[in-house]
Amino acid sequence: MEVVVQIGPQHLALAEPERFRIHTEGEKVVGVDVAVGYNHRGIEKLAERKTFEQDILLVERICGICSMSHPVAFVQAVEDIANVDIPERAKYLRMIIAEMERIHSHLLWAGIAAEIIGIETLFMYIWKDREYVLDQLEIITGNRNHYAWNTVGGCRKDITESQFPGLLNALEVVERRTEYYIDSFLRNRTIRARLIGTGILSHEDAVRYCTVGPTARGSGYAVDVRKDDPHLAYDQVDFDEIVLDGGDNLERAKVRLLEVIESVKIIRQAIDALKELPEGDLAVPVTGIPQGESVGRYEAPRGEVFHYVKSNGTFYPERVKIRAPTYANIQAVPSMLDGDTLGDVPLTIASIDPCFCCTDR
Amino acid sequence: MTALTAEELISRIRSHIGKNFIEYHTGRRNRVFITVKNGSHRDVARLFSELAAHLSVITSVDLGEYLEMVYHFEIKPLQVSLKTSAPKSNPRIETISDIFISAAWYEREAMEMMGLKITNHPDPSHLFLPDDYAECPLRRY
Amino acid sequence: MHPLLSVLVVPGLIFTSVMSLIYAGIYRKVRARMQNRRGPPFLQPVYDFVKLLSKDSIKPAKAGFFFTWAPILALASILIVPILFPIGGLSFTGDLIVVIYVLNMSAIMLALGGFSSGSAFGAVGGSREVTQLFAYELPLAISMVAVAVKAGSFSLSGIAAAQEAGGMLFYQLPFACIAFLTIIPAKIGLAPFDIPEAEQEILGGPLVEYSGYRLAIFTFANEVKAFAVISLAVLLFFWYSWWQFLITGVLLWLLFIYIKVISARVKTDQSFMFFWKYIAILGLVDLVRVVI
Repeated sequence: MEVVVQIGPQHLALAEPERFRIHTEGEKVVGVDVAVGYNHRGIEKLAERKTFEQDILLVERICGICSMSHPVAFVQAVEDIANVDIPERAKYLRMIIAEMERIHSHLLWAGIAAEIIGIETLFMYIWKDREYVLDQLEIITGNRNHYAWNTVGGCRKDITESQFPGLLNALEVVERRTEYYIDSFLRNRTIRARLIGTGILSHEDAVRYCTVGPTARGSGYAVDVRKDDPHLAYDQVDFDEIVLDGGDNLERAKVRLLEVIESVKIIRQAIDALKELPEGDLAVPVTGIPQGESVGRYEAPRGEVFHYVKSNGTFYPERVKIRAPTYANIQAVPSMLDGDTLGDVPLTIASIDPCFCCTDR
Repeated sequence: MTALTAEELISRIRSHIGKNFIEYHTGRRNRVFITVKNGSHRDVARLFSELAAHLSVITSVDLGEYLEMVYHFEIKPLQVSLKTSAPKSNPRIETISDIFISAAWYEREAMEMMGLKITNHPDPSHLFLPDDYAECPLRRY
Repeated sequence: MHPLLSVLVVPGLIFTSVMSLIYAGIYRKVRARMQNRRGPPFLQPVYDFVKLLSKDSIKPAKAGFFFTWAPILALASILIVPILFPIGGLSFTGDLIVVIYVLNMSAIMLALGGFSSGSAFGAVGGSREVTQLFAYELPLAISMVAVAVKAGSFSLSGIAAAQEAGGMLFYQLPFACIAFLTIIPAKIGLAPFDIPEAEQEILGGPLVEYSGYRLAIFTFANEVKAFAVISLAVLLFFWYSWWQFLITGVLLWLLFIYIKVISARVKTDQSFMFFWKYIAILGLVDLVRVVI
């Protein structure tokens, strides 16, 4: 006898509204219907009415956590159209804040995953350690989210010498605690029992559905914009792309936590590079965007963020197209839920690290 | 194996679809923009799927007299944007969701936002907008 | 002791209520401190109870007859257990059987409350509660019968007297003791076996549609159940005298809070397999040992 359990639009396991209709027989899932659009705000239409500089602030507010993802992708596309090269210093500054955002986003996800499987202690511990990173972001940029760090041609603010020691301290704490959390996720028997073997996304499905980010890399599909399409200063720092086989929830958790360690490595190298660079301009002055089009891509914590910007020579863009990583990954969710039990559904949906407000715009 | 260059890709597409190829231009950092005639975009998509392309998204653009669909692919290391257009009076473009399964949702968004008619689409219902919303918000009329 | 005093004061209504609320307060404070938080004040369960009584209790249109009666019967049935404790209680021969039945009743009332909520989440929660009941009921009964046979009596006061004479039963019946202690988290809804009340998965399970005074009664029944089951464990395996009984109860409660804080929730099929494969065997081992 088939029972339809509806998860959403309001549900304790989902931070944002989407509707999943789960068809179950007993506790086994036999079908999933996904409906999106509950958070649609018409950002693309609004972007055509604002200037390029105003659009940077607009796309920053598509989502709370992806607040370096969208601005950097957008501003890279605009800089391509205007044919400007941003200063070296600005590249490293953008990269540091971007990697810090990756760290606090992955830690947020790890806490939420722990809470969903019932071990709220780990959730409390992880979010406490996340506060160290957020404190540093507030000291450097002035805000915990929505940093307003970018402008067309470079960065708006600098990181001063006096802020480096606090940043390095916080990174050291985060690295040490993340090693402990990796250990917890891998060795605590009750956590393993929940994560292993659930929400399996096979390699073929990961490629077929064109998934991105840790969702794809946990299934052996090696896509990472930082390696494939080097932007900012990623081709000048040394880090590993974490790709694991297996495709279940535990693999995706491992990918994200290991990426936190890699991000700490990147930030340390960027700080060293910044200390070497001479004092200079943070931004190149850009007056007027000529006619043209370009594509800006950026590796957000959730995957590839894609912006297509078309300019007709006026102050306002002709067309702005925004594609968040969850827009691609959510199409693979029915394949991941196939064969799971009802108890695994919230965890599997959370394991793609969904950001539904980015999907709906 | 050397990486694919823009010129190689263009010549392969040209030999594949012949005179349906309209024009192309390149941007900075390995970006390529190709325009082909309506209908032949399916052959190009099939060629891309043999090259292990990754479909990022499909954009719909209002060009005034025409409505344009831009298919964004990544064929390492190039970022290829394939454009095709149809007149506003009869905006029919065929689907590529049988070749790239994730195109289905992007085409649904194009249909509801720009008023394009994607033929042979498996599920042409509204994606983001309410089911009874009749206008096409992204059109510039 | 006068029977009316036993029922109403000690170990009846007043004593049980006070101890249950103390246990609940300890639970929330200790759990918070272990999680690096400050936690609510000790009296928070009292405040919550009073606050819930003042809220609207909305009965869904599709709710059934048991929607109001399930919490009341759950509370009434679980209140019987402390009245039988041998600290001034009304113990009688065979009251161990009554205890087994009454503990069953409280779980069934929780499931009934879920089924009569008129909500898919409540129904799923109710079915999970019944499934878990099937899982641990047999090992529970087996270990309690093993204790009764060893002590030579089916009454709680008789079991207490046997331990005062012959020593605590936990080292004489170690397997039954381990089996009983493993079942306690499942019985009172603590991790790793708090599947029916899984907040994040089924929005709170059987209690999802409850509000106001009905929720207050149900929550209070759960708190009394925690106190009653822990005290029962001390009575069956660790009894020495009435003051040691109270202290060991609190110590045992702290142990289970610790286990809850470090565990995730297991899945329904995993817990079912666990109880039937391992815990039932443990209980059977001791039962066979005492019978032969």
